[in-house]
Amino acid sequence: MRANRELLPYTFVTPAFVVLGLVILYPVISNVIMSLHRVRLLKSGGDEFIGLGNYSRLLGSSTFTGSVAASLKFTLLSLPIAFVLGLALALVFNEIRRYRAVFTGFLLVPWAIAPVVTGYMWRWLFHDSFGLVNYFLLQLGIIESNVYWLAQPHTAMAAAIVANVWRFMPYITIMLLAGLQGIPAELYESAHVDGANVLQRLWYVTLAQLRHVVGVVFLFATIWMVNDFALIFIMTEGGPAKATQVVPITIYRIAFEHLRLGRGAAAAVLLLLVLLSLSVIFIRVVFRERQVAREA
Amino acid sequence: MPLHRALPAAPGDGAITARRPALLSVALGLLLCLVLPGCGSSRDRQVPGEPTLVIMWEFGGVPGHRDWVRAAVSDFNARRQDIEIELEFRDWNTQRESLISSTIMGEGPDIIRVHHKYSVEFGQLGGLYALERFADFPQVRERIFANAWEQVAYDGQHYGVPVTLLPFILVVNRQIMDSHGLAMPQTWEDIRAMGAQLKERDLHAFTMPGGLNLDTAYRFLALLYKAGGSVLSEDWSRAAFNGPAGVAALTFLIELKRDGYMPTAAAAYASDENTAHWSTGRAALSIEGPWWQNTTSDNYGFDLDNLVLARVPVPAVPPEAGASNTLLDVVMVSITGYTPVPEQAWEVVKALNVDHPVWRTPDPAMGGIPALKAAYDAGVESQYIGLDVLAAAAANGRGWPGHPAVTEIQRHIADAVNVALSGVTGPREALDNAAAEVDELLEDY
Repeated sequence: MRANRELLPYTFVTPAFVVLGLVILYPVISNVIMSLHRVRLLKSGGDEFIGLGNYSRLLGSSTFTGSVAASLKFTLLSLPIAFVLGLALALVFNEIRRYRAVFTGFLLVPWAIAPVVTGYMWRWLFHDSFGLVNYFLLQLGIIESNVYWLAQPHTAMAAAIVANVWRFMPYITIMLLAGLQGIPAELYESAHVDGANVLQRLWYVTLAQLRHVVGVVFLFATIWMVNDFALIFIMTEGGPAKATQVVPITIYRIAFEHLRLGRGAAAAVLLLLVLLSLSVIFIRVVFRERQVAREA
Repeated sequence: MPLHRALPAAPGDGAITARRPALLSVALGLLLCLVLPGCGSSRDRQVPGEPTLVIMWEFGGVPGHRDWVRAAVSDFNARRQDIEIELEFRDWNTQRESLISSTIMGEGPDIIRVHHKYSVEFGQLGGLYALERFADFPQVRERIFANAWEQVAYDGQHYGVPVTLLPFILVVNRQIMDSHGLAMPQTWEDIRAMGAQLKERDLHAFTMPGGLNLDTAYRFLALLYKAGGSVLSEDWSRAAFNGPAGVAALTFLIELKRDGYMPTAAAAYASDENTAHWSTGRAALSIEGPWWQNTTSDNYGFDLDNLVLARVPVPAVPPEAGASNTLLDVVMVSITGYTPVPEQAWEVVKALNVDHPVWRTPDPAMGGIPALKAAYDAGVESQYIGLDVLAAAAANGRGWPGHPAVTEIQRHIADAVNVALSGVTGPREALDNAAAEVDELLEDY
């Protein structure tokens, strides 16, 4: 009876572990194993073990290294812009007392729309002849003739970043807004009494109090942006000249268009390692800070 | 603290301990059934006293074709007591993945409507059923154009019935041509000449999808074939699309773009953008197929009185000695190699795709022209604009090589054309780079 009672909690958690093992651990492990093989889906003879061959091929491939650069550019340019705009909106929304729920509801629309729909929408907004972007820029006299946004490598990336910022900004705003509402008003009053100006209050009170929320936002947004496939694939298909072919699109192309499943798996493992490293660094930093704070 | 100590004791604890594992087992079992494939039951194909079940997957198809299939299957099921068709529509873009998984598993549909290029890839693997195994195949073969059969053959056997032919032809906006006094272009040089004239009116002579997609590879190949080139060498051991014809075709496209005779943004166009550009009267020419008539009128309200079809122009001086051909795509209906009911599947294929009267009248709503010879008999009336042009192009048609790696080859060609159109590399370098990738790929076969 006592033994049964001691085992009971483990019985409760076993299904969760089994499910986690099945849906997370098993695919990851099988992906790692696949990355060490030349996979022959339709040929007799089975898969061939080639060690790190897929990895060395990938790292020596200009397409893959180019896609890493595209991913870095896409993420590192999107994230700060989305953050600054999201913070500004959050600060404005924090001051709104009436109908805040309605405004935040509207704000969630870009986040709630499926990435495929967002991709198509922006693809046509940036169309050279029919797009509203060129129309308004022409009307405002900012440009003199239509810009071929999606047909030139640098403007295509810029267009993809604009769409990405539009999609991610609401998430960042909501997260920061929640954080802002948790900052005690006394802190602002004390800073004011101490003679802090607006920028100082923003830096030493608002952002200092938001640092953990900002950390979480940056971590999740980085992971989502680096993993983003649908938006950019629908908008540009990775073109022109692979200028917007980010790592997930390269993985898709290698694995499912060229059917090099082993090499595609290796690329996915590399991406996973990078994102896991980021997450581990973040978690260590946050937990260390909290531990230091507790000890103090 | 051990986990069990954190739990408070509760009345009837022992009963919970006894019941929970059983409940959990049931829940876990159900979950596994959802997670793992193969738990779902499927109906037996042949049950005494019941009609034999034949499963048919229709990949792709325009709305008119789909409507017809639904009606034809319903009619077949009502007429035949011995066979029942179970119809499922699938996305055109997923056909290869579906074929791979069903071939590996050895189970799936009995009949599939797919692109002809899969006849080799899956024919040689046993994923498709050779039609020579049916006694009346020679009679069926007689009723369909010979060059259509070439597209579905591998190693002397045929792995699908060619149903729909999609020759690539030049679609021309008559209004633009007439209002500028332009003659129908016969050569690439004619297109250049009309480009200069139309550019003054802010119009493009030519437009095409040039993005990183397979549509791009198709337009390039249509020009390559016209210039006498080939995708692969005769023995399929190396790439040949980077030969003189390929370089000439890509140079021609780049020059059209450079000179403003083709939209600069074509390097980002997929089929949608290209259709919009042509249908709204911004360009005079595009390379399309029999689907164009319905696509441009249904989706963009294009006045079909202004649609004219012509053969794709050729270079004035052929860069290669090969025959000048028209690019031809074929949609075939195949029987899978693992079907437990091949004879019944063959009955269905014949009834729906050879004997059905719909194939005796070329109908634009079906998305392509029929492969059946009878459709072109004297006296047959059709709503197709330029049916004679389409039929002549199909008769001179040549498909993508039926190499097992053809999809990857198409992808490399699309990449090369897009890179060159984007101005990142020159035509020769782009094609040579793609050819090197393809050569490496071919070593695996």
